[in-house]
Amino acid sequence: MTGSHADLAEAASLDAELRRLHGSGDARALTTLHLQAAALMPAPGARRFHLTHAWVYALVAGDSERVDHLERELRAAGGL
Amino acid sequence: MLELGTLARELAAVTRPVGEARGLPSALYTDAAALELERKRVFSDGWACIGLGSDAPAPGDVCPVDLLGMPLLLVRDKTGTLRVFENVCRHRGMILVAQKRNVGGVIRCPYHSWCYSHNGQLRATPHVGGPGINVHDSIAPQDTGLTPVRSGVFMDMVFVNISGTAPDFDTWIAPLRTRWADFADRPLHHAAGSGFSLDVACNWKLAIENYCESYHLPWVHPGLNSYSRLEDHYHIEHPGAFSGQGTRVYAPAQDGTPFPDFPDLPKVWDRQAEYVALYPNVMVGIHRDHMFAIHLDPLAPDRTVERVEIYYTTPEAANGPDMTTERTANAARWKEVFVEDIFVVEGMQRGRRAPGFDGGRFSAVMDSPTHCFHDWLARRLG
Repeated sequence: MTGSHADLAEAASLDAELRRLHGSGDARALTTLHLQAAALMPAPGARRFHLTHAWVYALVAGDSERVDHLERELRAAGGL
Repeated sequence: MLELGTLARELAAVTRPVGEARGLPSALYTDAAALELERKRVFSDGWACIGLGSDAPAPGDVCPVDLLGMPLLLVRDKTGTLRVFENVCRHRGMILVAQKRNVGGVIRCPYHSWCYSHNGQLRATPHVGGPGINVHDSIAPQDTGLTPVRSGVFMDMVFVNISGTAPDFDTWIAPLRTRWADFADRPLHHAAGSGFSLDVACNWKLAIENYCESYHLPWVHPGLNSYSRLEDHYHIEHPGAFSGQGTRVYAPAQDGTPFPDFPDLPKVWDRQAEYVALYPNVMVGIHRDHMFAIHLDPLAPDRTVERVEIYYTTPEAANGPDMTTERTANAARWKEVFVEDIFVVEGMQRGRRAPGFDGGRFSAVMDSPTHCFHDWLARRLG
């Protein structure tokens, strides 16, 4: 986390939304939320974590465009 | 108690010619050990029906099924091909899919989110190499796909061979495919709202036995007898594969718009219809204007679920709004017939608790389709 108040607030909001959607089956929305969370993470490990979850939900959604994008991102980050 | 030495002697009596044979011994209907024996020698070593293609009609549709405790998964892949896998993740053996649904792009295990393509290939192993590291040398995707189960589809019925040792599917189904060549490759349209299930307190074999003979029709189904007399029926016997009965006086109901016939059928099917028990666990009825399949799910020695699904010759007949009344009436007519059979199969089940019952004797003339089934089962178990 960057530690700024704005980022902390956004991260908390994303976390709440991720919890709300957990188990909803809305894979597209979960992909989007994890992508947003990844963008907030300066630490490579934390970023890879969210990219991984975004990737899994993109696979579930059958969203090949996002899958391709995320696989490139994960390879670049050492996650694939 | 199932005693194998005694069983072998009793099965030898079953395979005698019909006029001399005894029926299958009672223990095969009442003993859990017998069902376990059948689980291996009948339902695993041979081909068995597990459901219908219409259970997973669209790409990404999946349907979990349980075959005598074996968790299996029907999957319709992106090309429209129906596949069957073991319904367990290759990671920790978690059940992958708990209920019929569309999984989207991949089958995701709900435990650690390992993902599999519709063709069973391992597609993603999140965090397998540590947080955010999604690959590891110890897990080779090409060797870690879903475990495929040998499968085949005939007239929308899905069959599996768990052991992988049965003859190939085309060879196995060839006798019935040949008999019903006039129907076998026709498009069939599943009537989505016409299916029903009956939970019956009997061994699965009694449902087969009752279905494949016409002897009982005038006594149990007076409605049928009003137009289809006993002498209008004939036996169907293909030893080692199927048996049943046919009628020469089939007439579609006259209570509304007629269902369309399969186009260009040979004349013989104008009045003929056939009812075949395809061993071990599916019963099929074919008519010029519709077909039904009854899948038997043996849940316990004395409990069987009969699931009935009806198919028509066109999408409009199967699901169009203009024929709702006719479809409802047709399903109700068949349900009435199958419900009329329940007291018989449940009565025979209770009868198999009589200590002195020796399997019974057959009518050499009227019971040969039933004996054909017994002979097949005895040889599978013997």
